[in-house]
Amino acid sequence: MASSSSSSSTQVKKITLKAADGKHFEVEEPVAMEMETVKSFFVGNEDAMKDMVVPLLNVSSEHMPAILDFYRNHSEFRKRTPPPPAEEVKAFNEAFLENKSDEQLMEMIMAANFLNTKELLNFLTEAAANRIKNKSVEYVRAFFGIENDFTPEEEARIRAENEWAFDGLDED
Amino acid sequence: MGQTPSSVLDQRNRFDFLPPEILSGEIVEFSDDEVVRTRDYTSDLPDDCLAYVFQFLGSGDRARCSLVCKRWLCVDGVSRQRLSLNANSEILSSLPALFTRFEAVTKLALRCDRKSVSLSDDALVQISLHCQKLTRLKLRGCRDITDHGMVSFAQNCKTLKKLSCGSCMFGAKAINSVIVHCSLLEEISIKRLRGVHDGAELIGPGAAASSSLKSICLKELVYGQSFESLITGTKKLKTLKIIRCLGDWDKVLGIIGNEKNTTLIEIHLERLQVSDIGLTAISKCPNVENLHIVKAPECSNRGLARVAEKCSLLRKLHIDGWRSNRIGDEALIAVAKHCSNLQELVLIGVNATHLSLTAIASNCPNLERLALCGSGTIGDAEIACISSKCLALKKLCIKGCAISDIGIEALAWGCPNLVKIKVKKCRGVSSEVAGWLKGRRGSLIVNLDAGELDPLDASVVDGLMLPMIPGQVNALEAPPNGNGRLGFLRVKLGLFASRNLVPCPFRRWSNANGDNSNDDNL
Repeated sequence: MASSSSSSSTQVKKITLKAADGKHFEVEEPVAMEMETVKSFFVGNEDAMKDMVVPLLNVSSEHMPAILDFYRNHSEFRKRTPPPPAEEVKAFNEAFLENKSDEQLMEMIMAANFLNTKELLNFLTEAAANRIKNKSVEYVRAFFGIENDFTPEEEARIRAENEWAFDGLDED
Repeated sequence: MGQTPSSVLDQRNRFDFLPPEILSGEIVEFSDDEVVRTRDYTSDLPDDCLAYVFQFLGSGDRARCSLVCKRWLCVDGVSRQRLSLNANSEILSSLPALFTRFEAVTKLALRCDRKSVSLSDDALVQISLHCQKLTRLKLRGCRDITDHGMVSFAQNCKTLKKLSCGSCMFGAKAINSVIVHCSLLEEISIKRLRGVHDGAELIGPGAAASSSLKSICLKELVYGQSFESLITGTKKLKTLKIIRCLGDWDKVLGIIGNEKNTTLIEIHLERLQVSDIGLTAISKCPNVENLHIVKAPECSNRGLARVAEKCSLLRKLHIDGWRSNRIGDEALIAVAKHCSNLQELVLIGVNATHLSLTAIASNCPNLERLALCGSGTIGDAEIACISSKCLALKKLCIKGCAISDIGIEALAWGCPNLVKIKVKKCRGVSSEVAGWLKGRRGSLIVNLDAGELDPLDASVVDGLMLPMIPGQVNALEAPPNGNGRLGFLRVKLGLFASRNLVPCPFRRWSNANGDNSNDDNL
């Protein structure tokens, strides 16, 4: 791994990330460091910084621009004083999810999990939860491509057990 | 859900994952356009990650998720910390399965409806054996649980931090065993506990009372006094709420007041036999920041003034005068004088005038939330004074007060920090003025009903007018100069010639709100 694509000697250091399909992405160092996985790659290995290309075998290049965009915007939101209005963050988040298929969402959750960034993972898992809220069991199975591995008896037993639990949250 | 997804990822293996192209599998299209994925997208998600998705779902959705497949059933089960069960007696046979499935539950609610037979001691003991790490237990209508069951429960679940029970039949012995065995107990809330009898065993301070207990809430207890020694014996009590409990509470408050180092911060007294003697005792608790005196008709200006003088840390004050007219300007002026930290003031059925409101507006620079409800003496002049002087005010609620459009207009220029204003049941206020105010102050949330009055309310209120108490009349009599407001009202209502008549007719509609709980005002 010696491809030196981050030769730009401007103030902001760049790190090269290699997506699963081999495509390279040049990313400003602070943005790259939002990803714990990338960060851990360099921990105790600062010399490698200059020329290292970080392979992200679990993230497809299709999702990289969006993910990087998320990090850039959210780290900017965090730094800004006074903090940005809730509507601005909400608008960005909504636009981020717009036009993302269920499949893309799942892949991005896996990517976020692989990249080990809590903020992105939290955001995406909540989005996934919102998409399966108030949906039937069959819909959820289709959504995630899950096969029903219960026997009818088992399923009936779980349904009976679930009857004991109250719907609705119990806050205190 | 304390787990972070990283905990399951092995650093070494992180780079060994297969690329998603290979993982994603084919999509098989059926003739009816239905798309069915051939492989499970969640199989690559670690369990913690799936649990992450589940934590955003309510119990109904989680129940459905548990039926998706065996893995989901398992992930949901082990990640569920909060569980609310129908505590019907028939649940007994399902308990082993339920608590094997939900092995991590720490917060459990058991509710039984009025028509069913509730679970019994056996069931509770079984639960306590399964959930020894329970931190919260809530019981509602579990009428078949006795002292015996609760004693065993307390012995098995020693890490309990919060107990809340309502409409149960066990008694003092049960509560005592929780206080003795659960030495980490922080909060206890007891509502309608029918097993506590007069002259029976007293509820005394135990291990919890001497160390961890911080909050006691008693509601609708006939023999609330049996908790006297618990209340007075709890060393670090911060919150005490006593609501609709029979007994002489002045005495209990007196004992607390005579303690040397009272730690009380929050006190709620509602519909109690408590008088100025009790308030005087509260005045000896210098840390009190939050005080609610709701419908305690024996409490008067004298008692509250005493509290104000001594409790200068007071931040939140709620008073529902219940139209008794015993608390008014005099006490509020004392509050203004001594409690400069006041942030929240709720006055219901209190006949305050601009005299006290001016004082509060001038001396309490941190006042952020103000609610004025069902008060015949609060009119446009009072609102104008709030508008010009309450610079920190963020939320203002006015219900059933004698204000008109003029008062609302005054708000267009004052209270620079106002975020939200709510005006309900004020007949003199038109809907046009709300629109106008919104226009003037773009970011302000204006919530106004255009003074509709439920005729029922009015008739109920008629019978509730209480006689004025001598000495209080001054507050209601004419202010030094009849300003523009009076003239306006005369025109608007065409009725009154002098101000001292005003409170009475106003009360007709102002009191319609008298029974509102304090909480929905702000």
